[in-house]
Amino acid sequence: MSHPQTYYVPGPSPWPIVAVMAVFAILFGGALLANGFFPGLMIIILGFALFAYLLFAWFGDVVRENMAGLYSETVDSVFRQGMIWFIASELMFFVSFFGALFYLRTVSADWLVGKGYLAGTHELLYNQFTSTWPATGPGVKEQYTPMRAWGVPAFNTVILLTSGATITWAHWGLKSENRGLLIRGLIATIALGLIFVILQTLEYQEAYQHLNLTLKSGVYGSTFYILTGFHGLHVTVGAIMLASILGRCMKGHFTPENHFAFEAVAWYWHFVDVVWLGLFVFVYML
Amino acid sequence: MGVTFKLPALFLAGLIVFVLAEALYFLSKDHGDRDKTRVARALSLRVSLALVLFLVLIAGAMFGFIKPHGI
Repeated sequence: MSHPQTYYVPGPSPWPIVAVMAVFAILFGGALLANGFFPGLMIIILGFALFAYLLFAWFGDVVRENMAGLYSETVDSVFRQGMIWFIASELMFFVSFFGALFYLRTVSADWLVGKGYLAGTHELLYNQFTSTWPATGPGVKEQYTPMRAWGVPAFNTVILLTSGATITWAHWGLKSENRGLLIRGLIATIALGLIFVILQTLEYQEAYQHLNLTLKSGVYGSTFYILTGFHGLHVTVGAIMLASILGRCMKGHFTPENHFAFEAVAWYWHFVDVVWLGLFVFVYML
Repeated sequence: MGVTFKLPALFLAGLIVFVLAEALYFLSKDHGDRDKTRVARALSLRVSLALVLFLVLIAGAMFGFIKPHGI
C-alpha cells in the first residue's frame, strides 16, 4: 500500500451539512417538546436516526479513503492529535461532575452546618441541618434508600474489569496476527458491555420502583444519576464503537502496523472502565 | 476509612490513571511500527492494577476498614 507524502484533501462532501441538519433536528425537537408540543419527540428521533446514518456514511468514507492508501503519515498523526483533544474534553466532562459531587459533600455541606465563610447559611436558614451523606439537602422531605455498593454495582465492576481483560486479549491477538483471538476477544468485550448496560438499567428500575431513589431525591439523587447515567451512555457508545471495529476486523481491515482505530476504541473502553472504578469508589462506596 | 487503608488505595487509583494516560501518550507517538507494543503493555498493566484495586476494596470491606454509606 502506497503512503503519499502530501496531505490528502477530499472532494466536496455532503456530510458536514447533514451533521448540522441532524443536530438541529435533535435540538429543535427538544425545544418543541420542552414547550409542550409532543410531535417534537418524533423530530428528536428522526434527528438521531439521521445522525446515526451520518456517522455510518462519514466514517465509511474515511475508512474507504484509508484502505485505498490515500492517507499519509501526517494524516495518521492528525487523527491521533484529534483523539487527544476529544479525550481531553471527555475528561473535563467527567471531572466537572465528580467535582460537583466533591464540592457538595465538602464545601456546601460545611456551610450548611455552620463552618466556613458562609456559615450564616446554617445560623439564619438551615439551623436543623446535620452533615451526613447521602443527604438530599435541607428542605427536601421525601425519604429514599441510598444505592448500596454490594450486589449489582460490585458485580458490574467485575463485568467491566473482565471486559478490560478481554479487550486486552483482542489487542494482543491483533499484535501477534492471531485473528481468532482478536475477534473472540472483541465479541466477549461487547457482550460484557451489553450485560453491564442491561444490569444498570435494571438497577435504575429498582431504584425508581423500590428505593424511591429518583432524580428528585435532592443532591444525592441528582449526582447519582448524572454520574452513573452519563457513564452508562459512554459504555453504550463504546460498545457501538467496538461493534464497528469488530465488523472491520472481520473484513480484515487491520494489520499489526496499521490499526489506529482499534487502539483508539480499545483505549476508550479502558477509559470507561477507569471512570467506573471512580464511580464505584466515590458514588457507591464512600 | 482508616488512613492506613485509604493511602494505598488512593495511590493505586492514581497509578491506574497515570498508566492510562501513559498509554494515551504512547498511542499518540507510536504509529506504523509493528514492533512497538507499548500501548498494549500499558493497557495490560492498567487492567492488572484495576483488578488489584478491586481486590483491595473487597478486602477492606470484609475486614471492616470500609463502611459503605448504603448499608
